[in-house]
Amino acid sequence: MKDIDRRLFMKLAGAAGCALVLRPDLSFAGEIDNISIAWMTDPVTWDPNQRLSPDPQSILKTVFDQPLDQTPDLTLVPSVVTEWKLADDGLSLHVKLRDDVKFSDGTRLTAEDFAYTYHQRFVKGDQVDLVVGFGVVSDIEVISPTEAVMRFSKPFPTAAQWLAFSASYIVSKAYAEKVGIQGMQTNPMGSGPYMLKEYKRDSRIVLTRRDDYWGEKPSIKQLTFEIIPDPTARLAALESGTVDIAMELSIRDVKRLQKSGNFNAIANPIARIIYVTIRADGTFADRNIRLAAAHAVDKKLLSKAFFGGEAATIDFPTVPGMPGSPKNSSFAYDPAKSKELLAASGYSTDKPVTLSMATTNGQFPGDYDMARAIVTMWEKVGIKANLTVITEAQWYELNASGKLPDASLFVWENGTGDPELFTGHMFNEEMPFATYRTPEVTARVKPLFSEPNYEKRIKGYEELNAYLIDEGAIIPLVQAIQTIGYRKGPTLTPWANGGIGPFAIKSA
Amino acid sequence: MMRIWSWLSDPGLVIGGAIAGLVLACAVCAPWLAPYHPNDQDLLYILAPPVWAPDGAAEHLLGTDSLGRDTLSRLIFGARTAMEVAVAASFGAMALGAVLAHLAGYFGGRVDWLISRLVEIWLSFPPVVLSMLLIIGLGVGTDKVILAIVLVDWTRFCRVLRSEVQVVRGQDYVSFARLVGFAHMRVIVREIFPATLPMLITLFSLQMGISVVVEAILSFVAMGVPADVPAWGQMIADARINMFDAPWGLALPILAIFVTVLSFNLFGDGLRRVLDPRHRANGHV
Amino acid sequence: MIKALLRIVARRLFAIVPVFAVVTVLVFAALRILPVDPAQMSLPPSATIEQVEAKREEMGLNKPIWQQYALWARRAVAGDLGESAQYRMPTAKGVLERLPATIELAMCALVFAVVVGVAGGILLFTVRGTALESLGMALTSVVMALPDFLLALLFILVFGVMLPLFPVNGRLDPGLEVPSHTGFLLLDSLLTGDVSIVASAISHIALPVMALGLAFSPTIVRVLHSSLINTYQQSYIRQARLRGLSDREILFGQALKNAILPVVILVGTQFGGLFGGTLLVEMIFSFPGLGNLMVKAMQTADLSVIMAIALIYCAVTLLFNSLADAAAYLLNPKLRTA
Repeated sequence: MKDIDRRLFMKLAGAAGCALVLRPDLSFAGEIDNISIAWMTDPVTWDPNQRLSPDPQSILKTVFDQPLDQTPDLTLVPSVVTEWKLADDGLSLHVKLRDDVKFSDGTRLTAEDFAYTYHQRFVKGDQVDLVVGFGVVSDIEVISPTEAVMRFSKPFPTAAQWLAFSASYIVSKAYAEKVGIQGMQTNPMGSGPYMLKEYKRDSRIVLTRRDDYWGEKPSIKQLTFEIIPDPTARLAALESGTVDIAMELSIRDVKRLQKSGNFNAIANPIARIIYVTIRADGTFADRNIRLAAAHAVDKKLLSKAFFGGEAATIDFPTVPGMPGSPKNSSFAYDPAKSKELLAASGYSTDKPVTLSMATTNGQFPGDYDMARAIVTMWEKVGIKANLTVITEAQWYELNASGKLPDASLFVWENGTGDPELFTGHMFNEEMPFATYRTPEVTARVKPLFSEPNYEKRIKGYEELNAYLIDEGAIIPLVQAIQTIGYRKGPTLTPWANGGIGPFAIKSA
Repeated sequence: MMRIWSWLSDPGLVIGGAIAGLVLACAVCAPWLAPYHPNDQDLLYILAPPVWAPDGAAEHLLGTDSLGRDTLSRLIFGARTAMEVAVAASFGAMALGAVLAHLAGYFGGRVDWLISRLVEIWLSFPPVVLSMLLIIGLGVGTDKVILAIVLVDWTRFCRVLRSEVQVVRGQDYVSFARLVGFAHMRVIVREIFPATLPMLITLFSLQMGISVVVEAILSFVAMGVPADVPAWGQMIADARINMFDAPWGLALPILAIFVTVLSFNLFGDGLRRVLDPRHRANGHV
Repeated sequence: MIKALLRIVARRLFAIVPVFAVVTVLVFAALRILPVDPAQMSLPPSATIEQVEAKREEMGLNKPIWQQYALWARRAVAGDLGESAQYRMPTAKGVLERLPATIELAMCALVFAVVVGVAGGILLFTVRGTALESLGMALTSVVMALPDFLLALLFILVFGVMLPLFPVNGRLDPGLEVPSHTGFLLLDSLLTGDVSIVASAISHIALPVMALGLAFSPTIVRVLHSSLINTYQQSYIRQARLRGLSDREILFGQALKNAILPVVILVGTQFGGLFGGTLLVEMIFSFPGLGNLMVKAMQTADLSVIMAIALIYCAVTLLFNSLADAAAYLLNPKLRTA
């Protein structure tokens, strides 16, 4: 049996910002009865459109289908939607769907369900996060059971990317009307390859394979997710043999597993970045201070200390190798320059500038440590930061009410690879994610949202990214890595955007 | 003179007092005792083991934590935080509880009823839960932690002292003082208080131990002192994440809390034995 | 006799209702001071200002505080405890799901504490006057310096890292299935008849129970010990000796049932503390009960959950306080004439 060659894997990952994946065109060898995976968080709700949080997406994808899928290098491929065409003015998207997709209750999936999911749900008033992306849909015209046209109130050039993104799963209109929104949250019924067999909140999820699935049948008959929030407990579950795969272990555990005989582990760079958000007002209104803060952070040291050197450092709000990344450009770690800049504004280590910073603790491994390390790095050049701990939910609330501290440590997921869902969303002041709001930035960002020409749009983002870093509007740190430990036996190939699919596991 | 010698014959009092004194001394002399600044990070040298373990080095006698900070220095400064909070909170709880106890026990009637109802309501919360609820309402910070402990633990002083006050109040010399015409306040301060003082001191010592634990619990759940103030509870919370790689980082702060609480408990117990005339009469010194 | 008993208990229980009502008001007020907007938190991040305002209206947040309280109280009595902001599902449901686990833990810990405490107290009493007694007292001092939270951490350190005898997480081994009839895992696992499942349930609850129970037992030991000393000073003990009864007969036949009263009162008044201890112990052992839920709720400022669970803690504490009162009244003939 062959393990993944880590070096080859990393090379490919680094080159294209992606990972190997096993896709339907590769056949599977041998059926596996059950695979148990130690997972970090409970999905909380089984309504797949309800939350954009990245963690539940892998699980939701087993029960529901997305209209479009992504290949390892994050290009879009057909799934339930076989063809899609964006109008030249970006105001409509014409889609064609498969005719052989059945929900697990036996009913056919039609364009009616598509229209229900991406428009009627919001009109009805369902509180779902899917509205963040598709709120711009003004109408969906159902031409036939396999054809529909989405119309937008504003040009929406990234409509297709959003169809392949989080929370974008097609739900059954008839079922939704039958069980209501509460029923959707507790009893999922989808068209995906698995059905929910058992669910104990915060404890376990058991999924069984459907034999009437339209697509490639995965080789695993039963998937069990054991919800274990504590990383040391996940490791213990793996080592004791109660699970086959354990997600999100610490880097130290990964290294230890790699040395052991029965287990292996990978640290997979994914389309997720860790960075420091900056406010455009308050203390950071002074450009010198912003740039001083940015130059003072030793990103390589952060990667080495907290990610064992496995996390690639980034200088722009995107992942290396993805479109929108300015080429041949970088940002130096230069504490001397920081001190110079601060001195120009009248500050020094004896007379430091004070600001506030927020961080999460436990949202992802190393978050609190990184924030504290950054605070110390700043202290050394003359910036005194007061650190507070918040949750992800509080971040949104503080940002919305304008009370977010001057800086915050944040993590950003972008499964599509498109820069609109990185820079675009981070700096569009109409979105709940923007922290740095100035008229210049808005003027540069807004047109890109409705630019229908792909090359022009990407070039626009390259220039925007260069401008943002020049202005110190954001301090990108590292590309996040996903760690996975597994028992030697099944081989495993994860996606670059962090999801693991049952297709990606095959017995060797 | 005799009194002091008999105090020294109680082993709990002596041992407890000595260790408690040591902890207090650590707290006071922290800046001079600690080899490093407690917040000095060394990102290239994280989770180092203590000097007696393999890979340990003399530079960091007790190893380092996940940010490379010296554990020994953090323990010493943690003692300072613990003692600051404990002393202030214990005095506060004692003051509040004692005042209310004396008022209730001395005046009786409506005053007593009101204060007793207040105590009853307060006691319907488990102490840990109440302190956390208070912190949620007050916000985080060292002074808020002290306030929270005062607001939770005053009941302990109040209840015990109230019955003591009632006993003393029934004594003849108190009635005599009232008869002679002394004002209430004077009677309370001059006659009653000195009699309740021994119990007060004993409770204070026990409260010190309790305050240390509550402070540790609050910083463990990140609802205590600010993050840049070294605290044993915070050390435990950080060390727990890496406990398989660095178990000493978890064991040492636990030991610190245990030793401190034990010493104050022993001292308090010893004080009670020595100061309580009933115990002395039974020869239980 | 039974009727009198029930009347006493009922009277005590009714007495706590006004106290509980006051407690609900206090907790409600305390949580409303928070600079947190519950409406904002329960909507998706892209919610517009109008939507937040609408939600505020719906939740009644713009009304004066006593009206908000009345609204909450009315809904609560009907069983609606609001909606959890982080889970976006009814609070009552989430809390009820977790309640059996915590009750099971607290009860087992209580039994453990009482068994160990009473046995220890009797033992310490039988060696009174010897050096062993001083040793025993010293041991109680040592254990008393280890509150439940430290004991839990120590157990994790010892049994998680050094001697993996007991599991340190959760309620059951991953991979085991137990159909839920009562919600109490120990009972449900006994019902399956599968020894390995029962063993797994017991081994998972062992450490949390010991951490909670051991924190409580030294006090029981001490109280029983001094209570027995006091009881033995009564004249009837001397008479029993003169009549020729053996030490054991005196202890277990006569003295214990008179000496046990302070222990009963202690258990009643301190149970609230034990129940509150489940908060940290569950968090440390990743035990899926109320405590764990409460910690998460406090970290995310999920007000309705915090309120609901805080009130459950208070209700339990008050209940056991009044049961202790009733027990004291029943067991102590002297009090009954008062």
